[in-house]
Amino acid sequence: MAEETMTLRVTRYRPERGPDSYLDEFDVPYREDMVVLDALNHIKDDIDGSLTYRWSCRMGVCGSCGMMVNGMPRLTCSTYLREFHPEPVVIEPLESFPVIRDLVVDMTDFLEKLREVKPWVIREREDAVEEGEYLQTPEEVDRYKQFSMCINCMLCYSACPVYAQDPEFLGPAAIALASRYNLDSRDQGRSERDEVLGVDTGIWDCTFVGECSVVCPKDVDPAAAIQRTKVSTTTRGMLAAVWPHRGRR
Amino acid sequence: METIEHDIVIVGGGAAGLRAAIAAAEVSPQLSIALVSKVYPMRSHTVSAEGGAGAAVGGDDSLDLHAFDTIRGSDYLADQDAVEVFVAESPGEIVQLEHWGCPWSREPDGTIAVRAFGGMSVNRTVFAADKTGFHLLHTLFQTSLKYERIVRHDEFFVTSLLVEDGRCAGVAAIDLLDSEVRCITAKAVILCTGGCGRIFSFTTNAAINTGDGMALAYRAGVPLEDMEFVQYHPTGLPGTGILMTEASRGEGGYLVNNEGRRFLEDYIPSKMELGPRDILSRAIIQEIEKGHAFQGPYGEYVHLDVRHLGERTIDTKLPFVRELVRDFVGIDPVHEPIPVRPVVHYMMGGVDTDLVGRTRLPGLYAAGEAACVSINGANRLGSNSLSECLVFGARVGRKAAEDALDAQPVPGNPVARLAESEQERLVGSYLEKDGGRERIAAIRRDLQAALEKGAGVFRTEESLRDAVMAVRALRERYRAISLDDRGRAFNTELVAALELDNMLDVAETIVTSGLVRRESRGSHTRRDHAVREDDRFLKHSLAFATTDGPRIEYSDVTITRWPPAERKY
Amino acid sequence: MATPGPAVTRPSEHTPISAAGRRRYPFLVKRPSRTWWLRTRAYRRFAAREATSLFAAAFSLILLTFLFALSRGPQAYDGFLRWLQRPGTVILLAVILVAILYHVATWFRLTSQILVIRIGRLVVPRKIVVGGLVAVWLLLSGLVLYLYALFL
Ligand SMILES: Cc1cc2nc3c(=O)[nH]c(=O)nc-3n(C[C@H](O)[C@H](O)[C@H](O)COP(=O)(O)OP(=O)(O)OC[C@H]3O[C@@H](n4cnc5c(N)ncnc54)[C@H](O)[C@@H]3O)c2cc1C
Ligand code: SF4
Ligand code: FES
Repeated sequence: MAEETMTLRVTRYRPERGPDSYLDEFDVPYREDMVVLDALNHIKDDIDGSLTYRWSCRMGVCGSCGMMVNGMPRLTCSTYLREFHPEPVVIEPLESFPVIRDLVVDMTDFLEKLREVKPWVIREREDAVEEGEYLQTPEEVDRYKQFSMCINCMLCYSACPVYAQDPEFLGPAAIALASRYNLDSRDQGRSERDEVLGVDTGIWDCTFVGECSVVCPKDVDPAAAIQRTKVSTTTRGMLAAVWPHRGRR
Repeated sequence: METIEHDIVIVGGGAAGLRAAIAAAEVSPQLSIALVSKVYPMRSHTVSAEGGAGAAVGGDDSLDLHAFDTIRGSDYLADQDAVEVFVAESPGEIVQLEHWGCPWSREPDGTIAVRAFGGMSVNRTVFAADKTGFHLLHTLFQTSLKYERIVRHDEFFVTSLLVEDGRCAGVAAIDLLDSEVRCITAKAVILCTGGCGRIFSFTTNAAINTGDGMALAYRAGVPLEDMEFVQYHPTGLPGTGILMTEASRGEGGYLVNNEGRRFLEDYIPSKMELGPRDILSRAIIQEIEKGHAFQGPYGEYVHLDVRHLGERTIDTKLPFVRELVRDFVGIDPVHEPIPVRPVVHYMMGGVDTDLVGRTRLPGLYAAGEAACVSINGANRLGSNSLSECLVFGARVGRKAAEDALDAQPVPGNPVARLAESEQERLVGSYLEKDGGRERIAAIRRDLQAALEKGAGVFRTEESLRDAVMAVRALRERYRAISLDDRGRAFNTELVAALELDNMLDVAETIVTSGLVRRESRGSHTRRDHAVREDDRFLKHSLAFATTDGPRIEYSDVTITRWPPAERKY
Repeated sequence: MATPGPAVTRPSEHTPISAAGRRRYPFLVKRPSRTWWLRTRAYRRFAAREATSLFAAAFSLILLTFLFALSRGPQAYDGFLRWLQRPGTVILLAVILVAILYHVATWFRLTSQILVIRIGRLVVPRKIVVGGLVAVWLLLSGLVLYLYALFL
């Protein structure tokens, strides 16, 4: 029996070869239960060892393997080839990021933004470990849990047209993670984070296209985080104007 | 050659590395701390851990009980002084993580919840649904961003330790961006590079788990301890090896054979699904041998059945299990049983260290899965590893910081010369190497198959001897490798070649240590030596590098309050 | 290639070394396209949502003209009414109505994404939230109609 195959069209970029990207085509053996990453690994192992991409956990949790698959940002370890079979699949590096090589993009920008939103618990007074845990009910955990599920895969950035036009935009995941701490009953750092969130390059840059939430593989819903932050900063701003002691928490 | 100076270099950004970095930063604001990692820290393999972190925090628990469970689980090979330190400090670490924001699952009154786990006699596994490692890692990573003195070198691959005048004075690391070696000097180097599950073909481990740190230390003359003890987790998805967390049994799931029977009643009736991993993995293999398993395209399997738990419990306690089974098997565990089979999961062995993470080489420390303190002995209990990373990560961070404050400055020039010769080696042996036509992937596949065959759940003199020969032959073939990729920008094939080099070394220590341990203990089960022999083998094995393979020595196990006894459940 | 001699960098606070190195690297940077909003279906839908808001603006303008005409006296008011009855205007108003309905629908969808209503540990599903919003909207429209009937 002849083996079934499938074609992958992969965007390559190798700085040594010149300043432009180019297309490479590979035929790989096809099985029903193969994910896109399996096909890439097949190419790297047995056809062309110079194909370059990131991956690690191959269980959808480390966040390394994001690429554009047929024009949509996807985790390649959790995207099955059968979704596209028998048509060829087009694999490109994530949109809106500078490309380092082939399918590897530079995410230094996100890491800097992440630090800017202070993604750690801020308190006026830190309890000593001996005093035991801060109490937090399951309901209180529910309030921020969804926004704590972000695996930093960058799919949302690559789906966001605002980020594409304005790289200064803090972006979906960074704002979702800021909200994660703002909504945590143990945290008291909201006003510090407002300084980066409540500005033009923060929440107000967002026009609510909503694609970030559509592509997010972990249902983080960053779009909701952004809009809710818009609502809460506005109401707190207004409250602060009429009732100066309430606005800050 | 660029030289980058720090006081402390931590290799690895998983739970152990990040915990060490924060601990060191808290010792003194004067210290410059480098966190070097071949992937961004939040990609580290810790992210995959699902079930939880063990610590005696519950009301019905005690430190002694946790210690006893751990020691019995280890088949009495754990060092009991290390275990005592471990159980005493893990509750504090759990609270510390809570203070840093880790979203631990809670009781209705707001305290931290605990769940049941294999081999633990009470509920003592702290968890964050079934994404414990993910939350723990991101909490640590995000908290580490607060400390300005922690400087990250992301996507730097450490290729060797720089040892000058009998002490470890830094590391040589290639910056993946340009494949140039950087000389990173430090007064203390801490290896937190995780495990090496990737030397087996069927594993829960991520692609990056290639035992780099173990190989680095080994080549620098530090022995690898208890390498023959490889943990098989009883429940991995056939084909992908994706883990079905022990929490699925902790929450009440059943293991069922093709007769629809909970077969563990034949093996460990007192504990059933909550027995320790080595015993359960053996039971499944025996069921397979008896013909009581299902046949599938990726080998035989049994069923993990969680249907009776109900959708509510599955969604609140095991949402990730449901997500993974849906995404990667295409069935819904709420309605169908999950196919599972034993899978390589964890290395009990590692770089030999003392209770504060020091190795025999001055200036070199280790913690986490890469190290062997040893609290895990011949078999680790589920959920002890994350706590181990926290406890010993913190300890090694503090110790290295104190030592670095007292230490003499590193002799810059000789160390830089070492790094320069490392650069020459990489160019000569890989990037500009002529000849050879072995593919990396082919050697890697053969290595994985050899280990799977020779050092599986059940081992024999013959299987191990074959594996030793196979690994040696592969070492020969490795000399003839040739890279497709000679570029300098983000050369992942170069990294894969260097990782394979490490895997070969580590594999050799595993099979050699296994060959000479002629007894069965914990995860190391010999068909030809079926019983435990304390007279000869109540000892740690130590593998030292020599020019013709590892030399195995033995050292004593520290016994404090729990005299070795038969391991009964 | 390696620069000769030991160049020593003391890492400055806050800037990861890798970041400094990265700036010198020959990245491939794509220029953002002007027609991005045509690229995917979702983007086109977003563009439609934003474009239909113009119709809402147009309707407000018509309302303003109406008020203006009213304040200018009966003659102007009659003129305005006549304009309203022209076929072209009727078609325009029909288009505006459809566009605004579309726009409203998108807003219900978006609002349900932002608004979380919790009852204990349960989160009210989005469909129910949308249903609630539509109900409130129908209720208000009914009220307006009722008032209209009352004063007619
Ligand atoms: C699927 C799965 C589930 C698990 N679940 C649990 C659980 O529920 N409870 C539990 O207690 N344990 C669990 N474990 C075990 C536990 O997760 C690991 O033992 C632990 O996370 C190891 O952490 P670490 O910090 O030692 O190493 P890792 O998290 O593996 O980190 C290693 C780091 O070293 C870096 N590194 C490695 N080599 C190099 C190099 N050459 N140069 C530069 N950097 C390098 C890597 O980039 C990485 O940052 C699980 C393991 C698996 C596989
Ligand atoms: S919010 Fe979602 S899409 Fe964005 S980085 Fe996080 S997990 Fe990825
Ligand atoms: S490889 Fe880890 S998310 Fe895909």
